[in-house]
Amino acid sequence: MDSSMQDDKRTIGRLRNGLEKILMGISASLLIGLVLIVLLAVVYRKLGHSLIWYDELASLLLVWLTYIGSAAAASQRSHLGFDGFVKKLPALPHRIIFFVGEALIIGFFVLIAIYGIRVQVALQGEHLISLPWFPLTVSQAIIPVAAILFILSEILSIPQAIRQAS
Amino acid sequence: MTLLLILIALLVLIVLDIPIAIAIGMVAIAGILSSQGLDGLFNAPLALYEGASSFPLLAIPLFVFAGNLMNASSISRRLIDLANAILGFIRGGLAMVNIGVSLFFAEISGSAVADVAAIGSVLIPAMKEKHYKPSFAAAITSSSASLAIIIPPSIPMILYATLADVSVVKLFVAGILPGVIGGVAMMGLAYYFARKYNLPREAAFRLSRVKIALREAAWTLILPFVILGGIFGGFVTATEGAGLAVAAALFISGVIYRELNQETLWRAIHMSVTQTAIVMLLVATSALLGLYLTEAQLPQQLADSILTLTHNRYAVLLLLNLLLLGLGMLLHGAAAIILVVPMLMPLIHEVGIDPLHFGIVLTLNLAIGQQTPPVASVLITACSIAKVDIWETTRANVPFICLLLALLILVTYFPMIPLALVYLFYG
Repeated sequence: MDSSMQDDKRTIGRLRNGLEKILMGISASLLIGLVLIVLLAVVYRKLGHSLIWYDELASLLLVWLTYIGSAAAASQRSHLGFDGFVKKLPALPHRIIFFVGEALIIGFFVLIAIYGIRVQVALQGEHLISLPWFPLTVSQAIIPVAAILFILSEILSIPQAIRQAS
Repeated sequence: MTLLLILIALLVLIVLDIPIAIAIGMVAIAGILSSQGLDGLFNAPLALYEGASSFPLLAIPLFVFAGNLMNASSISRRLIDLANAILGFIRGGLAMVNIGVSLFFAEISGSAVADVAAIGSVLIPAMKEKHYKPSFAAAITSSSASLAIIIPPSIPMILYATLADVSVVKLFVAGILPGVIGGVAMMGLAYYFARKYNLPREAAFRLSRVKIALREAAWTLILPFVILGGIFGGFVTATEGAGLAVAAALFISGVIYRELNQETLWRAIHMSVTQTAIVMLLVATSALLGLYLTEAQLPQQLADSILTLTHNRYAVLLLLNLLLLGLGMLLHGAAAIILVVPMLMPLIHEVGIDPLHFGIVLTLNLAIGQQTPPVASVLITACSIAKVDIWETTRANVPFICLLLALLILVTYFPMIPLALVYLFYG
């Protein structure tokens, strides 16, 4: 029993590491893409050819970086918080508050995922202004996708969070 | 009343260790549900997208990345060596060096957390070795880095300028004089403690040492000229200036100093992604809360309730300072700006406060907010480097927080301090 639980924990740990690596790789590419676009736009403008799609595409990359990076940060449990109070509590109330908190966080992202998907219907047929071939449903899809990734990261990092707390 | 309920709900969630960004989002969702029912939630994903997609926000990942690249190379060490050659002979030399480099580094990184990470990781261990109290070392590193956010370039100023529709360049100019006054006063306070605790001097002043340090730091010294010159000269926007900072940091640490390898570069990218995501999620959920507050017409209610108390602009500024200092304890600077600036601008215009003046007042409030727990990103970074307790550091930090408060009062009630240079250059 004990060894199968250990195996489960190891599997969860491996899954968490794998997910974090993928999310971090995507986020890193988005960050590098952002830097290149901003610099390219400055060079083009100085050469007298402004890139009209630059603001919109850079903003889009920033939103994707924000949410994919947030899911990666969730798997590292790096989001800013204040644990000064709960740390001082005895083990049982601490554990209860921890799981209530996890349920609230997951509930929040479940709502965002559901309404993120439902809002897609309203965006059908809409496109970016400067890149008319790029559908808004694709750019906005990051919200439900990231919400699901956030939930996954949160769940997979629970064992690590419990280990850190104790 | 609604505002009070929101603050209490936020505080409870934060105390229960819900990440602050998500706590803000939860309060917003609860507010939307209570006022508009389930249908109101259709706006939530749109607001979360819009909240993170404003163009000036690009300055955040870019400046953070530039700061981490500088940390990955010897740029900060070279600056510290130079400051040490110039200021180290004074009693409490390392404290002086700390403040001096903070103010200079601010001209490159635009971010107080990058500032404290760069300088603190070199100077805090050095200060501990020279028998400075670790809490004092963390306090001075943290306070001087926060003071530096009113010196250009500055991420909070870029965000404020966009939301308040004022010139970023003029706002940058407005920050120079208060920043210099604050820096000199902070050095004075550090000197007082240096004498009181008999802190050591570093090596005696020698011109030859300064020359060597200058030569070593020459490329690093070019950085602020490239970034600020680009912005003030109108060559690039403030946001693009951040892109320029990344290119310059990459060039200097990679090509000139040859200190970047695959591993250090990946570490800088990894840290930048995490730090950006943490701040940007706060910004996005604050925009969601902002949406709810605006739809509930809270900005107007807040303006009306303050105007029923007084129309005097200085009394209004006093009330706003109290509000902002309170918010600074609970919110991250960028999130606070996104949330409060749209709420406060009608009031600012109504009572005739110059938006540039208010921009500096707001930024200074947020600088103090970075020093006041529980949400004090800069202080927490300094404490984790110094490996000291946040509350112990806060006790050591009280005199420096008081100094920042005194500067805030000065800037609030003498608008000419921030505005003199703006009038001089722009009429």
